[in-house]
Amino acid sequence: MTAIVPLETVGMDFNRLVKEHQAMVYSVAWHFLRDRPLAEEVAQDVFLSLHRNLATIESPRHATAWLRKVAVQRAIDAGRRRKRQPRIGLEEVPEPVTFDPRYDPWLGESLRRMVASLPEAQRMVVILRYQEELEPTEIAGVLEMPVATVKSHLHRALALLREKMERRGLGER
Amino acid sequence: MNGPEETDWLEQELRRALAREIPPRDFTIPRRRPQWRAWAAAAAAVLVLGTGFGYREYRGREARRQLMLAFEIAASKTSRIQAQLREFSR
Repeated sequence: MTAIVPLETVGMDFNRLVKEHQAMVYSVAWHFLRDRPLAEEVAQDVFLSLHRNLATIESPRHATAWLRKVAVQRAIDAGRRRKRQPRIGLEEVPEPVTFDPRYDPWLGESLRRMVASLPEAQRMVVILRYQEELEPTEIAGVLEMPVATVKSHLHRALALLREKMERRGLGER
Repeated sequence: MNGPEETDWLEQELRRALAREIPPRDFTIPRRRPQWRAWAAAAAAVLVLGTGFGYREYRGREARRQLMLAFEIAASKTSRIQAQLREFSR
């Protein structure tokens, strides 16, 4: 059995971990929930949990994986708790006010809103793939699902997003 | 993951749109509880205590009123019995 070495002894402390990972933790929650106060709450909760479990963290790499996994779980939980509130459907995403889609300043925002309206599993797979740049095998590890399921979610999500983008005149340039 | 032609505009746009954001606050600094919560908690405590004291006061007054009523009833009964006794003794 490998002995757990406290992070302080390998040159990492709690504040450094928070500083290094707060953008990742917050962004996972923000892109998934589209609610900044709730995303802040989730991030706060994740770091509180890290503080409580600091002694079990074995290395900086372990810290990254641990934080990512907990952020994903907490964001999904927060989304489920919020479910009784109305969600924005793909059809409710406003049409961009622009004449030339090539110069649409709202493209990123439209895309983020469309991602936020994807089903839960597809949404998290897309966030982990394009925000975190994880490979399907890594996403499968974080979400504890088969790699084939991850690929299927990703494929469906991209097809849906592509279709919606093209229908709104925001397709390939 | 779906071939070179699939690493297309949509995936590039997704990478741009879903780039990590700097959080609006620094999570290394513990957040103070909003002041209004403390004030609300204090107001609730005062209300509960005040209501408690008021209720005790009311119960005390009510007990005194009932005691006085009992005395009055007892006194009227006593005077009625005394009057009856006086009738018999004649």
